[in-house]
Amino acid sequence: MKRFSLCLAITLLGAAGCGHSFEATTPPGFVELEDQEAYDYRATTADGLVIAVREIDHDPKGEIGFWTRAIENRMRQRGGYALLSTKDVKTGGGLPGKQLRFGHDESGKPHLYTVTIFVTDDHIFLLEAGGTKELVEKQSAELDAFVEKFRAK
Amino acid sequence: MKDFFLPFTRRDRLGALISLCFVACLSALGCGGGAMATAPEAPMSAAPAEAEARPAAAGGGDELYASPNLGPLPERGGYAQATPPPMKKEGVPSQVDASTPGREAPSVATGSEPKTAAGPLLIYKAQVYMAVFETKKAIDAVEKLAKDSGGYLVSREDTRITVRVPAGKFDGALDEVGKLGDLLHRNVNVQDVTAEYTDLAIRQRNLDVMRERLEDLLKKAGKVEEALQVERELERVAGELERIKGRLKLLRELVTFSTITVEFQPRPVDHVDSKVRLPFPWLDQLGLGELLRL
Repeated sequence: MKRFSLCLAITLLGAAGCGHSFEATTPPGFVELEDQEAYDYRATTADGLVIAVREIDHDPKGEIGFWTRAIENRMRQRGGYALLSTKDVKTGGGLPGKQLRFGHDESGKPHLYTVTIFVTDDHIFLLEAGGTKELVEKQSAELDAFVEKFRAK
Repeated sequence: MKDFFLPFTRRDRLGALISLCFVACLSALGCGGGAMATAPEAPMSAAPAEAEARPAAAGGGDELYASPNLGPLPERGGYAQATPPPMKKEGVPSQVDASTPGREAPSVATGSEPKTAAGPLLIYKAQVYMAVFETKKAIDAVEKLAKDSGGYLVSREDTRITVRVPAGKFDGALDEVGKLGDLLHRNVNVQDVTAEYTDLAIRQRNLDVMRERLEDLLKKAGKVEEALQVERELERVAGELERIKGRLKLLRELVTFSTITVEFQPRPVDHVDSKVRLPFPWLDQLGLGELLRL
């Protein structure tokens, strides 16, 4: 019984430790939000500039080009988002990724939305950032740093 | 001929004259119908039915056109557009009227009287779907583009604008519109209205002749009853003439100015969804709506 309890405790601890397969550093000026359902991590500034991370099981497997194209099609063709730019990015750990920068009007105001994708054998990581065009442009350095400091375990 | 009418009263003679005139007019209209039957079928069902504001200078509407089977009419000063600009390549308008000043003096309002529609009369229409970003700025730019190229604004809403540009500048304007944002989709339609235009021009010519004859008859009518009968017919002919003139005027304008509609929204989904929808639910969760809902 003791052995079983020990195993269970180790398993639970392991599960807790494996809750996320990434490390995200909350940038200065942002507050991390708890109990997120749709996201594995989300943080916001007081003005409403929001960053978030989704961790998706990499199943079925696909190359990063496939997932990048899937996101682009989804946002442009079905969402009406304007693709403003695409660039290569890297995490601090050297994992290569792609960053798509979109523009979209919300309630008549121009907003910017970036999706950065990193793909490992087991997971797809989506780093999202969005807010009014003015806010995003003003805090672009913090947003870049958020991507650079991201770590996939 | 005089001897033939001698045994009849004045009233009988006038009645017979009216009848003969109607028969002659109907025969003339029949000729027009014959011409219609030989002409290629006009795409009437697809004919544009726009009621948008149109430039007043685009056409007077009281011009006469020489029909192919009736010979040329005396020149009264009218449009030159019945002979369309030569085509530089199939389906693309030429640059003949590139110097068209636009709304104030479109090319159709100048020049000599056309004899016949020597080439195809084509109406160009483009529907452009742009991504929804900085919409107002882009709509302002589309309007400016149209005005700078000699065109004009037809309608403008928050996420939609329709402009008309001179046909010769259609391709260039469309390319420029595509540079104003992220172009999602583009439809370009070309409609050949040559047959419809020719038929209408012939019918207008014949109705004009008929109206002149009826006016002559009205002058000769001796009794109120006869005069009323002729006037009723005159009214019908005049109404038909106005309708034809209006349609001709619209066709001339639509040929001279190509229509570009820019919509800032994704293209409406067809029955068979042409937009790829991959079976990954997380893709549908992307976007500002979800992200900014705290």
